[in-house]
Amino acid sequence: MTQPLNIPRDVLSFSRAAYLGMIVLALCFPARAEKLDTVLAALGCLGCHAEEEKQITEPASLRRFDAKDIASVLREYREGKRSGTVMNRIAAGLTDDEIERIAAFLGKKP
Amino acid sequence: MIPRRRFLRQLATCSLGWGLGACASGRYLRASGSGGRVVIVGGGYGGATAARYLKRMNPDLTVTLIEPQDAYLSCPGSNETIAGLGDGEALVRSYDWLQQELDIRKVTAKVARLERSRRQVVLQDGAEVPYDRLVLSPGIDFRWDAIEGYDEAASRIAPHAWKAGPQTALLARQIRSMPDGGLVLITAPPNPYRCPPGPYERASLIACYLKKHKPRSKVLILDAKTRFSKQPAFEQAWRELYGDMVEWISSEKQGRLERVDAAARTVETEFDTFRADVLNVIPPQKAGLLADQSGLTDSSGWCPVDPLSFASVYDPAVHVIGDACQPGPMPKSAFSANSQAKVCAAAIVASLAGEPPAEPLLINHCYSFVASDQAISITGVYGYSPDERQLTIRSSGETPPHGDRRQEANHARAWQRSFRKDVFGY
Repeated sequence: MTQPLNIPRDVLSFSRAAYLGMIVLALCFPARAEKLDTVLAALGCLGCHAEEEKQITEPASLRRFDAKDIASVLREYREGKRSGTVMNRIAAGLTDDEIERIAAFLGKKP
Repeated sequence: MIPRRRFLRQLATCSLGWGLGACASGRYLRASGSGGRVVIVGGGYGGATAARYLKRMNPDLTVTLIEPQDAYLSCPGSNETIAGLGDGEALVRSYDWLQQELDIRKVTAKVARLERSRRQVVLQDGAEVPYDRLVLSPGIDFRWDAIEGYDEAASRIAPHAWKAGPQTALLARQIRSMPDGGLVLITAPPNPYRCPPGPYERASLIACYLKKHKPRSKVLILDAKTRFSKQPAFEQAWRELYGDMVEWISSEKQGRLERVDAAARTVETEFDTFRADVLNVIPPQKAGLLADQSGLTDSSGWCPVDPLSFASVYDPAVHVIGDACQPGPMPKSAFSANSQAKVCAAAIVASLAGEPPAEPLLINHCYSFVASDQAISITGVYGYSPDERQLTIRSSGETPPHGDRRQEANHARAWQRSFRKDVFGY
């Protein structure tokens, strides 16, 4: 049903693990607790973007892409530098912070 | 390796007051409230999503889904079958995956009533199902008293086809057997109602069928409104694809819909009488009967909820999601129901762990087919305003009149598949 979330043990992946760790911490830490809403928003994305990595038809699963690439595409949609049918409208409603977190949630896991 | 669902559960249960230790150890996951009993009534897109995501966020919950049907027939996609398009079989989903993979209990029964003071759902055979939290996703019911002459018996002659099933098939048969040169008359209801663009998608797809098989025919929409969802894009598509075959009449022109004679297939407005070969009356709507009978609706006929958790404003242990609830500006759609169900599930998991809900961010996105291979869409992103304590529109948009309708149709088909998988697991 669900993609396992790999927590890497190897040091080369440390930076990603740290990044992911920071997200988890950010979500848990009182000061950033409100950021849980971005997870809920990311779950909203799963209505169209299937979670299984196998799905390559549009709208594609995002699990194959790096979070930073998803984030930059979302920003391009928001700023009108990239045109889609639907994503411009959705990205227009997201803050930078939300874009980062949603991308981290949906993107490739280290 | 952490299973992703445990990660989600941690996300859903970590919030204000949890220090690093609690989050990192995960020990609290088996603390109080983790084995709560959540009962869901209604197995459509809202209820089934809630069931799946409750289990996904906290597998220790006992989740029971009460739904009288053995399988679910999707409303999204049903207009296509009326026009002889698409595969009706593809619209059916069973509850097997939810039962087998997630250990969700499916009770195939009708609910007689709720006993909210005792937190019991009473089934028609008298059996009782107790709950710590109840999620109602009862969909819509019709205001049978709103239009003179149009009641449930009349709908068996002049179908509403606004709940997928036998009514959809009846309308499809009538379209098939009408004469060339005949009139299909659709009456569109006042706001709010299930699937705001639905009547206009239906008119488009019926025209798509008629153009091919009965080209001298006409589709007329008598509207209780003065404008409608995605109007510029719909009207552009009608002009391009169907010429003057589709005609929309605003309530400004015709006044109120006064009377329906289903047997004669006539409709009287304040100023005129229309006689149709196929009459599709989509009546005014209200929240599903159970919500109404349980004292969860207000004078509008819909259920007021707290948009942070979708808890009823009348009962913190009962949540209402989907078409039946009225959370500010969100339209009544399957996508809205799915988005609301996820917010509701997270809030219930948090609440049973003694935590406050997170601020939600919700999405609605609706496709409408205007031909077999062309579609248009409307999108909204909704945030929470703490000052107003309700949802506000963050961004919205729709297909421009000259948008890429073929590309959107490809996306629409892919969405239908992904969406059903997200809700029913396959």
